[in-house]
Amino acid sequence: MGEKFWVKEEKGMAESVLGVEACEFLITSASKNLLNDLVSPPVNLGVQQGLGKIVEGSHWNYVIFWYASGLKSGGSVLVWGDGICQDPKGGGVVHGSTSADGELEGVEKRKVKKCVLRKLHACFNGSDDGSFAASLDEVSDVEMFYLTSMYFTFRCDSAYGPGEAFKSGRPTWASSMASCLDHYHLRSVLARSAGFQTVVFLPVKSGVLELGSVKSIPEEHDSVEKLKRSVWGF
Amino acid sequence: MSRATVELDFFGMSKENSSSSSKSKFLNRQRSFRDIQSAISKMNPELLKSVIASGSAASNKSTPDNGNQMSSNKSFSVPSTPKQELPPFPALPVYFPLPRLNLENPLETAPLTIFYNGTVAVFDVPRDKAENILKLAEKGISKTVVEPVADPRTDHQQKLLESLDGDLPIARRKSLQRFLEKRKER
Repeated sequence: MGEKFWVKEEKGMAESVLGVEACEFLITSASKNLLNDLVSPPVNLGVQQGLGKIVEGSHWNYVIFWYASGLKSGGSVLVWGDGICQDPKGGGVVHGSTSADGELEGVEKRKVKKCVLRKLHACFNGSDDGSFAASLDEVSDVEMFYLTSMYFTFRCDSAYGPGEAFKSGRPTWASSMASCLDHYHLRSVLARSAGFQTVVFLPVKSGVLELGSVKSIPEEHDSVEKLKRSVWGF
Repeated sequence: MSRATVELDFFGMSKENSSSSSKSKFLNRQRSFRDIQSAISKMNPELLKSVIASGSAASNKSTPDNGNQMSSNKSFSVPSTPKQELPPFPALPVYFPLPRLNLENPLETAPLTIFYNGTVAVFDVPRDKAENILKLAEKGISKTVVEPVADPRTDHQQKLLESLDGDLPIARRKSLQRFLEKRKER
């Protein structure tokens, strides 16, 4: 009830981390309660092992499986299915996270990130509790991107990102920061903070795989096939 | 009455009794119970099964015209026929909440009054519990749903799991859980 309402300070903090457009999108999205409208909610996807194979020992910092479902109200949408985050700078291992440009982060920024995550969690799950945020004292920008992505959804008729790949059936492979930011669309502020230089959207059975890296990974002739085989075994 | 109340206007009674809304509810108690009973008789029997049924067996036998059932002006903290064992607090039928006061202090309690089938139950609850009850009524599920946990969990992780409630964002919850576990392993 109260959790879905954003006071000015909360909104300001969120905008500083997510960008104005992403913040607007998430606030609106939380009030719509999209998951109620799904024809087939994502349950027991069984992709965790496959995702692990992609990420382990690779330069990918994250992989996300966006799950496609029809909407009872019409159209179809991509929602969070599963994912893995792999950030050597994350997990609070390095005391004081560093941001993409190598600068040591201030206490203020870390507090803000934690507040924003906590607010998003309360807003989308309808309850505010301390135990969730307790583990998130030092979140790297890559991790911030990953965790925030969980709340995003993409219409399958969109012109960007996962929605576009799903609609066209063709993979997107961007290996420069500039073209990445284009494809990240609403998440570009988060992506820039994280410093991603490569993003890939790969349409697969029942959804889209998204991969990102802070390194520039050029596409090779069999890159896409290798990735598909990792997850689906074909 | 100056007491804080959260009124559950189950059947839109306030619309029908708009002319008498300024009078004390207690004066109209006898008539409104009859109205409530007739309204309930039109409700889905499945819903009725799981509501507080302490007076149900006894009430079935009493006639609908027995306006003396609740002639007392006292408010009860327990339903009036305690012979049967009180079931655990179950799901509620349809309601239309009419909050009167904003309870600023989260610990402050106010009476939550539930009318059902000729019985009245009053529970003194803080605001968040009242909201939870209303949410449950919306969802129509029992609160005692326990999440099956395959792996052994530490105390903290168990609390974390419980905090990730709601049965819809399962995928998100699992990913979040894994993320936090992985962090702990470092």
